[in-house]
Amino acid sequence: MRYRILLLLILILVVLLLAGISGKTDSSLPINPKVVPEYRFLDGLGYNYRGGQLVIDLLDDPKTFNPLFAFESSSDAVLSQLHGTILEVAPRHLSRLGEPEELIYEPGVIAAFEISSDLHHLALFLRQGLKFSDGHPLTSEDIVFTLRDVVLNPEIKGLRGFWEGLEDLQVEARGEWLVVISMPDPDNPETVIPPQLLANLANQVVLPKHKLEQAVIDGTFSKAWGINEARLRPEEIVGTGPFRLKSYTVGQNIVLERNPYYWKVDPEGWQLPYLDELLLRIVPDDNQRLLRFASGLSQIIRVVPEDEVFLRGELERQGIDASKAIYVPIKANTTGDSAFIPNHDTADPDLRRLFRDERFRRALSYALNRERIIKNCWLGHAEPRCSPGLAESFWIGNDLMKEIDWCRFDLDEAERLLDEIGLKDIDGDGVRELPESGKEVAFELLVSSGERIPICEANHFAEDLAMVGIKANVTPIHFTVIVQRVLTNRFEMVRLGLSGGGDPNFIRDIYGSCGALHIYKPSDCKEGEPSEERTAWQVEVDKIFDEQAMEIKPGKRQELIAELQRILAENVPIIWSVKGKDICAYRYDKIANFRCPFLELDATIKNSEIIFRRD
Amino acid sequence: MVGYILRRIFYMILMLLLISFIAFAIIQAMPGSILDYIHIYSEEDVKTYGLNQPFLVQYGKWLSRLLHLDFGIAGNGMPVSAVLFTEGAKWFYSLIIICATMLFAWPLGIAIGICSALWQNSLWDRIALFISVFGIALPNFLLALFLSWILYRGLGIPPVGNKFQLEFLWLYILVIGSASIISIMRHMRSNLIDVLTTDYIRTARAKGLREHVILKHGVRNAINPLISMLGFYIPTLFEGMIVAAAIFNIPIIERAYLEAFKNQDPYVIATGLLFFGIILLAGNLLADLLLLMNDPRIRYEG
Repeated sequence: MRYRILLLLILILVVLLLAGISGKTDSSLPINPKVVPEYRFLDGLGYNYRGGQLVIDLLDDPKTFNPLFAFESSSDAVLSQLHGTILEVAPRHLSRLGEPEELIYEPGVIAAFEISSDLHHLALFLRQGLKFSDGHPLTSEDIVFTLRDVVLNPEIKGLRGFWEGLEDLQVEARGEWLVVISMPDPDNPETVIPPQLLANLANQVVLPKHKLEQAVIDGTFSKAWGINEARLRPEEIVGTGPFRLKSYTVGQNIVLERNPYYWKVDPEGWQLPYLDELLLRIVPDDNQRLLRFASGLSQIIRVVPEDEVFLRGELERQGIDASKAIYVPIKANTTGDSAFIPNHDTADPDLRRLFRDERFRRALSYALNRERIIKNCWLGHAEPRCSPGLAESFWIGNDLMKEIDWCRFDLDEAERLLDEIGLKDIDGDGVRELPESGKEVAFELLVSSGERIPICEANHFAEDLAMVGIKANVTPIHFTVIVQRVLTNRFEMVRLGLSGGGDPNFIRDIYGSCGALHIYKPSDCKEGEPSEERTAWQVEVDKIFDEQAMEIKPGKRQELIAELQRILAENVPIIWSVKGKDICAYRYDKIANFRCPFLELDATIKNSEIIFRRD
Repeated sequence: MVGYILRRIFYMILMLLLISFIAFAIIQAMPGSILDYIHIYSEEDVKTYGLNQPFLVQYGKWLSRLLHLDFGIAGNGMPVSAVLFTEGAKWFYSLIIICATMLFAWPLGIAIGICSALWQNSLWDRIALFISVFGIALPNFLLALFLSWILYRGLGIPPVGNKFQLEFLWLYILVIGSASIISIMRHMRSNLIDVLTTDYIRTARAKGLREHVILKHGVRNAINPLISMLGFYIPTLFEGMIVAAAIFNIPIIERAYLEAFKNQDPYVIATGLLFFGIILLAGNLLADLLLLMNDPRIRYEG
């Protein structure tokens, strides 16, 4: 009998041991982890190659680790690895360019979602046992905190423009694993859950209540998870992404380590991510980044077009098939724009009056030779742009360009408009003057000093403007300073790359009057009727943003978005320039399962969890 | 001697006060209010540094904080001391590069200078002359780019990792110290030639003293002007370090200082200016003291 008991005990021990070794019954996983479908593993499963480090060079330091205040791509690049979103765009609907073709959503951090039959409620079912990267359980309280206390909280001013119009949503926890989002007036059959809510949830990270609740109560949320906290207490930055923050040395590197509580597994049931570490090194110079990639010190890079030939040669010299390593898209993404943004609220009253004059902005658009920029700055790897960037299914940009006359290069028309405004070159020095004051029409054009293409674009625009008698003083300054000056409304004109495309809700932060990135006219943030600050078309833009957010019929929403693009393009609040093709390269000799279309601005990798090292 | 040092330190403090005032005035000269500029300041920062107060009050508060080694808040919300010195142990790597460069440049420059003077107009001297003219004509940033390219082509490892790499220390030394070696070498050569043709050396030779004894006295006298150079040499070294830091992307104090200018980060710029002022003044004091120790004829009076 004693032997039998002993045998049984040994058997139990062996079973437990085997279970522990296999890792598949890992207690760090939720009971229903999300299985990444096999077709996404382009180079096969990597559980035999787990471990290792992926190195990517970033242009600049992140400015914050607070997702609601991450206004630029260098912050996004890091945050996208630290946080998972409530829903996700179904990957089979991503186009070859890596952007959503059809906006169909599937569960992300949550296990499932369901819209009630009366369309008044949206139920979010959580993954039981799911934990934040610090091991703290993620419950319905965290979802409610994120939605009700942070993003729907009007006291918190951050990147939440796409939640505008939805502030009255009711969010409540029902037990530990269920959250119900309800329309404010469930008895009204007109108010139903808008499909755009799903788009918002697909862009919404889950914030940990146990870490951030106090900051919300104290009113210091905007300062929470700043640079100091990240470098001194990296363990405080907690999320549900594939990686968590291990250390941050400002100006040097950000080390992300594998999140041991990540909730995705591969088709064999192995917990992701495969990599142990993601090293994001700050290398602010294009040339240094290129050399580091060419020598294998980093494994993924966005390639400046003029470096493509050099890189091909270097890779071929090392026996690497450049046609496989370098990806040049056939066409540019429909999301994102390169634009020259005049400050309609600039301090100089003469300049302000000009920038607010639609004819002047059209004249600038006529004067901009987009084809020359494409040829000289992008070496042909770009497309002209005259309207805001959106996901392909919403974008009518190319059709619109045929209708929008001032998208073409026409110096005569530009001069005619400038003459009409009364701007003449009185003293014959080649620069037009204002009729009243005799002051030259000149402004400062800010551009980021770290990259070659923006400077090239700005110089070309300045040359074009000089031909019609307008003086643009190109001022290359550090990107950080540009961000500071733009956010504090201390600029005249700035050249920026605008991202955040995709669902139309996401450009509301830029083009909506009260958006956090509505930089061309910040004082315009007022609701109601047109005023001196708010033009009729801006009121119309805001109205359409509101309407489309609540519209449930896809066709009708499509019409609204088309109208929105038309109004913006016609009123040309900013001078859209071109959209470059995102040329990207990766070291296929060192990493697997990565494909270039999945690289966004800087280093926002969309599939980092399935990448593994080959070497 | 002690009295002299104390007096010098007192003058140094006065000079530093002037430098700090100028540094602070420069950051105030930036257009707009500092509060418009850096929107990351908290209410506590505004109170601590008097950011909404008049210029002199702000300066007074900054000065009083300096005594507590609090240099202010940088544009990204970090303490200036961290941005400039401690984050990633920048001070340590700067110190390593400075010491290594000085240990390399001075003995080598002096040795080549002595050889050139002893074998004046020989093939050795002409080679040294050619190298020195070439070295003076070649800007250090070009040398840095050239060496980077050679390393990349030769070893496949570009020295641009944004980290301090000990294996590339020789490269940093070469780029930062090359101009110094040449300058020291030329000075040493001309000083020694002058000294070796003076009457007392001729007399020593006539008396039959051995050459190495003559050389010992000659070198000691020829080296005095070089010690005076030391005070100015240290700031020059920092210039070279800025170039090397920018091209090789080395995380040292000088790069943080350069980035502060690019970022227009007021408190970091002011603290950097003050720091380099301290280095310059300390270098001058050190040079004077070394001169005093080396040449017993020199006596300082206050």
